[in-house]
Amino acid sequence: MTVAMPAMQTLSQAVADLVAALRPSVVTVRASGHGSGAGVIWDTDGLIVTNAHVATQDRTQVVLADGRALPATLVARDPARDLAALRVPERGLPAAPLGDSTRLRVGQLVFAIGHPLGEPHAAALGIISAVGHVVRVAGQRFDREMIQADLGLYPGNSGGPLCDATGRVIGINTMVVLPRLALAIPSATVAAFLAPGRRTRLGLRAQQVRLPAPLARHLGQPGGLALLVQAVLPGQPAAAAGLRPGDLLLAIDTVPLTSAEALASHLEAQGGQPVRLRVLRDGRLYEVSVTVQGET
Amino acid sequence: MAGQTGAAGLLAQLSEDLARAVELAGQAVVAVKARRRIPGSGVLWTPPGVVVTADHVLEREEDILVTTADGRELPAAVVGRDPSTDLAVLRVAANGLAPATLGDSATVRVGHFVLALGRAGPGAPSASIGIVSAIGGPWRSRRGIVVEGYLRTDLTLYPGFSGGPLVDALGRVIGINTSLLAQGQGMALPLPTVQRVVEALLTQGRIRRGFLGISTQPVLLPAALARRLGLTQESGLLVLATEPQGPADRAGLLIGDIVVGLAGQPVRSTDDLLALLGPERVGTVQEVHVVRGGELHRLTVTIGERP
Repeated sequence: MTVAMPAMQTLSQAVADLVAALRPSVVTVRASGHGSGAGVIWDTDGLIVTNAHVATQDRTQVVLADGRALPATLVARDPARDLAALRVPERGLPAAPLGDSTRLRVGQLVFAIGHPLGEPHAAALGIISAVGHVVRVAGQRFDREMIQADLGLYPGNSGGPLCDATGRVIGINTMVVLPRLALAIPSATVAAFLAPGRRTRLGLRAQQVRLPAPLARHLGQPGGLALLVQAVLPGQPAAAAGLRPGDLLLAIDTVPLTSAEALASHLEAQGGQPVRLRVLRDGRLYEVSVTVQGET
Repeated sequence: MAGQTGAAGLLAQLSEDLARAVELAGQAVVAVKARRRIPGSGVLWTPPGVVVTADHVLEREEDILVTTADGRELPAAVVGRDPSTDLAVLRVAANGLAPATLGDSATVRVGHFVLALGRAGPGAPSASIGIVSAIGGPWRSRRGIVVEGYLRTDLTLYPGFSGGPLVDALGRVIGINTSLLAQGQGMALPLPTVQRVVEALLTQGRIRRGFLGISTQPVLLPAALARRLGLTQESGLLVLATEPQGPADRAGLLIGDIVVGLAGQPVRSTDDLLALLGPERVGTVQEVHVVRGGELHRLTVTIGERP
């Protein structure tokens, strides 16, 4: 006897469709002698994004979903963010659609494709467990914006995409805490990593600091972290807005600022729109509006 | 391709529904800081100001702080604790604290989607997802106490999730999660159990449990003996020791007696006996049936309270 379950059947089909649509954009990255991980075709000019801990050499091999192997050259690598960019000599490859990682909500559906434990192009489904600044997970220090997902990933998923319910890539999977916690680098961080020349700047140098606990509690700063302005470059947006060395940047557009990474991610997502900074100076709180410029 | 669009739309709607369930239920989830490592979680309950959490999350009873979704850090006082169900009740100043929306435990079924929520600080809570794997009847917790029901799910209880809510697809609370009761595997205490314990803790500050003052061991009854005495059970509890001046001692129970019945119910195992020693029997006078020297004896015992 079969039972009609229209919602479940429709949902199942929808997930299967999303996985099928994304699959051609997911590659295998092989660094000789170091095993393999996954990667994402990021644009149609042969740019592949993966983890720094997967692309450990200047020359690697990228295997496409259809089985073709291509030589890949390392063009950028950032071990701190665990990101690497590779270039393969082929145009017109199917690039993954990209989403907006700054608007993620706890509870929303996510799925991943990778090669867990060597199983090629395997899919997993789960939800976003937490978003925002992560100080430390499972003994590893991050101090940056990360996506945490309730998702069954394994070694071999590293470097592969994390997508939302519309099939858009919102993160790159980087670490697994078994049995069921996955960490991903937000796609906004990937964007900032790929385009440092075009990164919007406030024109200041700032460093992450840890506030004294009573002050952190009073201000409500997560983890007690904030950004201390060390230098303000003349003629740049921060200087124009009146920011000074010694200012403590606490929040941007009401989102707590706990790292330079978070600042860069947020600015990248905002483009040329003005941003509001919450600043602590000489024991008083100020709201400062800064209009960010894009640089080419 | 209308079907295609419908399917994609339904998936996006599911994603949105899940995020909204987390957002709604998350308003009533608090962090409970009563130990040096990461805080546990708790749920705002009725009447306003009451916080339900897991007992094992409270490693101290002073300087407990509860953090709400909007970032307030409120001092909390312990109202009562019940280690046998791993539940505890705290009280905080009630200004503007809306209790969680409760679900209907009668409609929970195996296979239903559920979310576990936890909170370590202000802002968005953390969440994990799964389904109801089993709805259990009476079972014996680690501390040997019979709990009248449990919800087993296949979701992951992340560190700090104990004391937080199990919510249904509409974001309504249907249980309290605890990692402690089932040897580290995630379990939730269902709503009726939680409500019963919370009520008792609010009125009495503790859960009363019946007490006889005997050490026992299950033994098989010889079939012929059971038949002769008119007993349909195969086993009883052999009395190995009695606490001097305890309820069983005062009732005249002796070492070597086999307890086969209490309060009109058969006693075949330790579980049976524990189930018969609930709070409602504390202080009551009951008949206990024992097999002694091949004969059935009826004794009268006043059930005490477990210290």
